[in-house]
Amino acid sequence: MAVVPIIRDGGDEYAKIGIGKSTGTKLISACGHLKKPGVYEIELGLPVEEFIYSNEYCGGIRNDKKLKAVVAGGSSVPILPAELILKTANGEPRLMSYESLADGGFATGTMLGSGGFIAMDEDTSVVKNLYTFTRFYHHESCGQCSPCREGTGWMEKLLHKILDGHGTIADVDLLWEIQSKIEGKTICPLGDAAAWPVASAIRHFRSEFEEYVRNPQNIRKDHHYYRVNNINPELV
Amino acid sequence: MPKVTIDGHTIEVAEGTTILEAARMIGGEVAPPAMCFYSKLKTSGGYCRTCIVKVTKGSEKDPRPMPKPVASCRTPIMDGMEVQNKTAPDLVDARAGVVEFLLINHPLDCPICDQAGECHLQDLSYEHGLSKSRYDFKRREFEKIDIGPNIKLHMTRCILCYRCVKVADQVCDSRVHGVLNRGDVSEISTHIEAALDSDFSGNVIDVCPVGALTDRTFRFKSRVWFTKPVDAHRDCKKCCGRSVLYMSGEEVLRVSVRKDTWGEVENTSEGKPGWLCNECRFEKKSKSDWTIEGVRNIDRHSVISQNKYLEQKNRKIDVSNQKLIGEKAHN
Ligand code: SF4
Ligand code: SF4
Ligand code: SF4
Ligand code: FES
Repeated sequence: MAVVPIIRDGGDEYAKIGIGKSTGTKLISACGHLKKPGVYEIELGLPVEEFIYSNEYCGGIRNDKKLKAVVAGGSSVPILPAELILKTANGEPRLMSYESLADGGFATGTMLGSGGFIAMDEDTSVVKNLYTFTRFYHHESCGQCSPCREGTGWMEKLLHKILDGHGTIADVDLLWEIQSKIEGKTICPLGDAAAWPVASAIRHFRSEFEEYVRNPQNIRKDHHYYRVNNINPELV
Repeated sequence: MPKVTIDGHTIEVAEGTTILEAARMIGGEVAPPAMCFYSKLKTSGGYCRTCIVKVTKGSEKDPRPMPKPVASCRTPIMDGMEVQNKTAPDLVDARAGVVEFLLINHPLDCPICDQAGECHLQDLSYEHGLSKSRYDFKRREFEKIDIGPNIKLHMTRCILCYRCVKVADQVCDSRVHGVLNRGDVSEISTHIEAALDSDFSGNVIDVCPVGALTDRTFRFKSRVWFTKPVDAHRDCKKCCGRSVLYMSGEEVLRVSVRKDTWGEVENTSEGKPGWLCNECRFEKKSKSDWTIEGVRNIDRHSVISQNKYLEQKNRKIDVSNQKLIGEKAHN
């Protein structure tokens, strides 16, 4: 833990660990489809690829599946597809540091945020995952300001509609619109936190949303999921 | 004194003035719409986000623009600040988004809503709203509640501006009224629906920007634009006794506070907000209870200002142009 070396060696020594402005170590709570999920203390600047695949850390993806996407810093930060989390848009290895993860802005980057690291394998549905996140933020909204109070519920309903097999392409566009109208217009950052996952999921995985719209019968196999989320598994 | 420029108009204001207050001093279109801010209620504002503006220059010292739109009712001006309201199309678009959020769960039952004609949400949607809703889910609904014998709470129409909560807190003696729950199921409530038992509780009706809190003694009596508003006063031991009576013939249909250009209660000559007590508001419903001062000119927004009383006034002034006035009266 960080306190021990700071007390033992002093703050200056501790700050030599890390890279650029990201100095010291950070606790990363890794979960999702990893062989060894858990809380790891890493030196900032560790390559993301090493964090996911080396045996010292998460040990790779469960059942040796392919990595599909990662939410690198807690559920509110933009989700990135595997190719963008392992390498930046310029082709440089992505590092576990504030600067490297933010490289490329929200177009191709994300944030280290809280260090809540969620890895998803190739079988994961980004849309379902997003529905879970959005439902969470809807539930968390305190309701003081209009964009977050009303917008989070609206996004949840639209995602439910898309998962329910009744979505349209216009609904996907509307989701994009709604998140853009919430972001930056609220009292506290929970509004942004609710908007970013929606924006990034559509930005990087739009085709998946369209698949749900075009071929709803193909994606209605996971009956348990539908039951708990109150969705009729038979397409009506 | 610090200077601020809003939509190209520069004004000097006292330290600590908010952008919204400065914009109101300039007046007209420059002033952003405000659904929750109420200058006479402490800690109001910040909730609805309709008053957002774009700060293109932070101050003389630090000219960087602010990264996000800010709530003008809660942001104090800095010397040299430059602000855009109506002149920034992206800001107007962002505000339209806020208006859409306020409307998605709103019943829009204006035809049977007592607030219609003097509703800030109507004005706001008229100026910024889309002609069609993009929300096709079931709208949120609540049961209507009677808060005591005189006030009706129609929570479905509430936009959660918190103004009534501030009135209950600051104008009434004890607060038994507040917001229950959170998120989009929040609701205004008096605990265990107890009557808001205060001599000044009726003022919640006047601060409510929508038809969520209405006067039960006026309920469904008349559309407000068919009434004739007159200024009146009476000697009252509890309150200032200065009111507006909404008359129909000799009958007093409703009594309300006097409101200024921004829809807020006017100050009395002593400089205090002219809140009304419940006795004046709900019980003094006969013309003989009041000394009538004359027809009230209700300006800005309200359809009441479009009505015949104003035109009659104009007619007196404008005798030279009889034909035009005659045509107008037919419309
Ligand atoms: S953005 Fe923050 S303040 Fe506004 S409703 Fe959401 S949680 Fe509440
Ligand atoms: S509160 Fe305003 S917008 Fe809502 S129904 Fe009443 S008049 Fe119409
Ligand atoms: S009841 Fe009216 S005043 Fe009270 S929060 Fe709702 S809209 Fe605002
Ligand atoms: S008036 Fe400023 S946020 Fe409502």
